[in-house]
Amino acid sequence: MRRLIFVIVLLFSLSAGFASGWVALPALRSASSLADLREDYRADYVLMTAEIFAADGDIQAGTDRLRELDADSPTTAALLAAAYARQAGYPETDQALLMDLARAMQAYLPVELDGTP
Amino acid sequence: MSARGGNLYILTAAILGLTAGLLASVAIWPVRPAASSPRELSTVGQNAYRILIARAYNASGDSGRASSRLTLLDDGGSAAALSAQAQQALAAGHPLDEAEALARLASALGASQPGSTPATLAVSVELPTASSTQAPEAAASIPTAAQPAETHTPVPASPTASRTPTTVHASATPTADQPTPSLTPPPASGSSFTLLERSTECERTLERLLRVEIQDRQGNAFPGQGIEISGSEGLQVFYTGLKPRAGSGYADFRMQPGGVYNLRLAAGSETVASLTAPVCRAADGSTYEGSVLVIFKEK
Repeated sequence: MRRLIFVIVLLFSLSAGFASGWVALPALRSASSLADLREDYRADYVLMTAEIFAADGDIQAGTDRLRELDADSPTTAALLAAAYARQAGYPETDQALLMDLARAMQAYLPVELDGTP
Repeated sequence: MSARGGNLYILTAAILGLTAGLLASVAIWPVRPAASSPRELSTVGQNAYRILIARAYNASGDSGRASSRLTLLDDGGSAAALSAQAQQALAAGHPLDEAEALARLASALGASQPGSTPATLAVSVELPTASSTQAPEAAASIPTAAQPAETHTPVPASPTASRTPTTVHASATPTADQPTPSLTPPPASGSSFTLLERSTECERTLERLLRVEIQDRQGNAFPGQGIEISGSEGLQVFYTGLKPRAGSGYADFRMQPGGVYNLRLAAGSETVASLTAPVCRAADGSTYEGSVLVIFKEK
């Protein structure tokens, strides 16, 4: 009986601990990183990278910037941003910049995407 | 007593569970917001975002878009925050072009915020190998914009976003090895600017001030240009555009009493040698050191 009560109390207090850490103590949460940016902000980040790439043509620097969004596949970050820009109706000049960057990234670090947008 | 001892296992379970749950939720599996805005980024993330905005501005020349992007950050897009970050980047030994990009954007925004409240920014830049008690002085009055509310629609989503390409001028890349203190700066890789004027002025308010103005080919003010100055304190760098009220192509440096300096532009110019404040006589017969004015123009 004691063991059962011990387990029940332990589970309740464990749940309370998780709730405190995730909900009641938001100040203790880690600050978000660039990888946590919302999709539209991610697209803007990639667009800035594309604007810089269009001016300097430095694909390695562009790759390093995109790794901040997706450490495993910066190319995927570029492709997804290009797709988002098309869906969201970005100006054609911006879409072209993103497509140029995505193409350059695909040539530099090719990836295969299932259901590529 | 025995009842308390008998219930101790409940307290133990509660403390164990709470501690384990709290630690796991904070340290091991912290909650990350599924989708953040730039304002929710860490300080490091916001600084990286700000640098990217500045570099994108340098690439596209679209200050309106850069300004909109900056409003997404904590500082709300103030020129002072950009200048402060430029200063920190230089002090931390980050690439010179990073500081230049930030300074140029700060200058562009400072010039476009005429109705804003001026904020004082002291810029002190000293290269690592230079041992000095004096630093370039650029007490800039940078206007800061009123903090705009965050918009939840990112900048590029707006189909009306403007794009006004402008010429981006090449700038010198910093050398990996900084020279030791010397009166003679190392030779520039090329000469992009020509000396237009070198003069002295006797004015109390400009005492010992070395003033530099840089113009582009059209004679317009040229912000974000690095100016290397060497003297007994070593080699130091300061930038145009950090005093928007004096002009975006203007920078100044407070000389030491009796100091002698050589000056040239980081982007390439002839070296202006043996600069020293002139000895002036006031109306009451006392003497003071006046100012020096040097003007460069892009070739």
